[in-house]
Amino acid sequence: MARVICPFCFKPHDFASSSSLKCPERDREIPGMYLRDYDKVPPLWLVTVGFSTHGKTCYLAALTLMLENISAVWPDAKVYYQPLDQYTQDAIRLMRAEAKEGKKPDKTKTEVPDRPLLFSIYNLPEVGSRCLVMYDVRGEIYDSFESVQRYVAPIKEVNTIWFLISLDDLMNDANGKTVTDLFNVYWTAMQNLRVDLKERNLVVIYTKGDKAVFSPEIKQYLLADPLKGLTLQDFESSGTDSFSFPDYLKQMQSASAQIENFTRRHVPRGAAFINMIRDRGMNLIFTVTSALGQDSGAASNKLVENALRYRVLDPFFWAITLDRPPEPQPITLLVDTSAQEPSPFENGLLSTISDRLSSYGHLTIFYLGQMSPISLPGQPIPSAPPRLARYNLIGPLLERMSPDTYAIAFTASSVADLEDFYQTSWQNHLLLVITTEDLEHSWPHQTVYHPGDDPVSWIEQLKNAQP
Amino acid sequence: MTTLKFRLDNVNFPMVWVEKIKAYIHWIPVTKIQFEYFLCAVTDSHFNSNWYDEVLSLNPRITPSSVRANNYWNALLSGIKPSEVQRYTRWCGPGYTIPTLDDWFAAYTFLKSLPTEPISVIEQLEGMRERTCQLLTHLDAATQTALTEAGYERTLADQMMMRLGLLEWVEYQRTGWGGMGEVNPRFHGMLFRPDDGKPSTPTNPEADRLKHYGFRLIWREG
Repeated sequence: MARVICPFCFKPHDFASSSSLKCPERDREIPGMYLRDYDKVPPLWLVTVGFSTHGKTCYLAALTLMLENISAVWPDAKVYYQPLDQYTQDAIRLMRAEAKEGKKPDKTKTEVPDRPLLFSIYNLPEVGSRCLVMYDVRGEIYDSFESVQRYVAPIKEVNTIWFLISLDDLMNDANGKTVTDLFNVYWTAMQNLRVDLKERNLVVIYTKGDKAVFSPEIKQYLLADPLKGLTLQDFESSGTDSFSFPDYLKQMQSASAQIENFTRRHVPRGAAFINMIRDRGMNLIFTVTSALGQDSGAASNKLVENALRYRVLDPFFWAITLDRPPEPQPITLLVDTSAQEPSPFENGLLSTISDRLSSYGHLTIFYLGQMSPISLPGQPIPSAPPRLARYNLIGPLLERMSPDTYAIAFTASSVADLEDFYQTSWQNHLLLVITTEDLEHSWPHQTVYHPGDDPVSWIEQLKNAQP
Repeated sequence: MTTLKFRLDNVNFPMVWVEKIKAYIHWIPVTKIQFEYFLCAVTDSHFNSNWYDEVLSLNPRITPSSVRANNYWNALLSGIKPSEVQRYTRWCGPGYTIPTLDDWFAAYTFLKSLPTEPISVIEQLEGMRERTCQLLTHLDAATQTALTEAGYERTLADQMMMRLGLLEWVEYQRTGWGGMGEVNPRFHGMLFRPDDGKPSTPTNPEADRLKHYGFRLIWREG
C-alpha cells in the first residue's frame, strides 16, 4: 500500500513516502487499518441524501445495529464487522445506547458532520471484504451551491448514492415536495460541479415502509425478510441455515422492479423521477425498508432494541453488489519547464493545476523531455524548476504511457516531436494547453491557457474528443 | 516467411541477427527518435537542450510521415561524436557495443548478398510501436527511390541503409575511430564507398561535429 484515496478529503496521498498517517489537507489521522488493508478491503463510498424527518438517521442507526450482528447470517463464514476509528465507534455506541433506552436518534443536527463513518465488513460470501465510508449528508445541503462546495469531495466521488424517502411524509408534506425536487437539487449541484453521473448507482430507499400504502406484493416482500430478526437475541438460535446470498439478490432484483412499477404508477411525479434518472444514464434501484417494524409514534421516539427490522440490509447489499471498485482515470500532465508568463512554478500554479486534475483521476506529472516522473499520484510536486534544461520532447513519454491515459501538455514553446503523433491514437488523448497564442502548432485538441481557467475543463475536452 | 531473426533494442527498434558476427545489428542507423529516448532519460547536463539544438542545426529533425527520398537522412541521428556514441551505448544496457570495423564490414558483406525483406515483416514484430512502424515504412520507401535514382541494385544491406545512409562510426585499430557506409550525396557530397573494407578516417573525430556521421550498434548476449 503506497497510495490511498483519503476518506476525509478524497484526494490520493502517498503514505509510503510519509511517516505521518495524517491527511495533509484536513490534518486528521487516517485509521491505520484503513491504510493497511486498503488493497484487500477496498473502500465503498456511500453518500446519503434525504429530506429531513424522512427517517434517514433512524435508518442508518438500524443499519449499523444490523451490521454489528451480520456474522449471525453466515455463522460459518468468518464474517465480521469492525469500526475503524474512535469517531465511528462513538457514533455507534451512541446509537446502541439510544436503542437500549428506547430512544429514537434525534434527526440530524444542524451541524453536519464533515467526516464519514468508517467501518469494514470482512469475508462476505460472494463479495469479499469492503470498507464502508459513509457520508450522511442532509438534503438541505443541496439547496445552496456554497454548502455543496463544502462537501464537494465526497459528493463528487461517491459511486453509490442512497436517496432516502418516506412516502408517508412526502404525501403529507405541507410544502408539496415531490421526489423530483430532491433529485433536482442534487442534479443541479452536480451540474455546477461538472460531475458526470453517468453509470453511477442511485438506490432509492423508501423508509418507514410500515407506514406507506404499498402494493400487497411489496408488503409481502417486506414481511418475508429472513433477516428481520437479526438484532434479536435469539436470532442465531432460530437459524438461517437456508440463507443463500445469490437467491436473496434475485429477490431484491424482483422487488426493485415491483417498487419501480409502484413508483411509476402511484407516487406523485414518480414516473418523471424515474425518467430523469434513467435519461442521465444512472443505474436506478429501488428498495423499501422499515427500521422499526412499526410506527413508533411521534411522541414515543423509540428505536426499540428488540424491534424487527425489515429489509434494512437491502440497500447495503445493493451497494456492495453494484459498487465494484472503479478503475481511476489515469491522467498525465506534461509540463514545459521553460515556460514563463506564467511560469508553472510561480504563484502555486502547478500546485493548483495538480490539485484540480487529481480530483478527477490518478495524476502523474512529468516535465517535457524527462522520462522519470516528478510526481506520482498522491506525491507532492516540486516548487522549483529543474536545473537541467531539457529539450521539449513528448514522444518517449507518450509511448510509455497507457493508451487510455488523458495527457495534457502545458507548454509555452514548441514541442519538437509532437507532429510525429498526428496520425496516431494520441490525437484524441492528448490536449495541448499553450500559454501563448502565437505558438506554431495545429494539434487537433489545443487550448490557450488563461489565468483562472479550470483544469477540469481540459479533461472535459478530452472526454468529448473520444470517438 | 522470413529467414531472418529479429529482436528489438531497448527502445523497441529492430535489430537483425548476422550469423557472421554472431550478433544482432540495428536494422538502420540510430534515428533521432531512438536518441530522444536517451535525451529524456539521462541526467548528464552535457546532453541539454543546447546540445540537441546544435545537432539539429546540422541535420534537422523530420516527422515520420514527412520522410521522402530527398530528406530521409533527416530522420537519422548524425553530427554526433564518438565519445557521445559511447555514452549512448552504455545507456542502452549490457550487450550493446559500437561495431568494430571488422564487425561492420563482415555484416555488410553478408547482408549485401541477401535480397530485401518485405517491410511488413518488421512491422509485425511484437512490441513495435506505431510511430516506429510509420517511420520505418516511410524510410523503406524513400531509400528504395533513392537507390533507384542512384542506379543501385537493392540488397538487404541497402535496405538497411548501409549505403546511401550515413557514415557510421566504427571502432578502428583499438583506439581509433573510422566511418563506414555511404552518404547520400544530396545530404553530403563525398566520394567514399565501404566495399574495400577500409574506413573513412576523420582527422580529429572529437574536435568537430561531422554532420554526415551517425552510428548503429550491435548486441551480443552474455
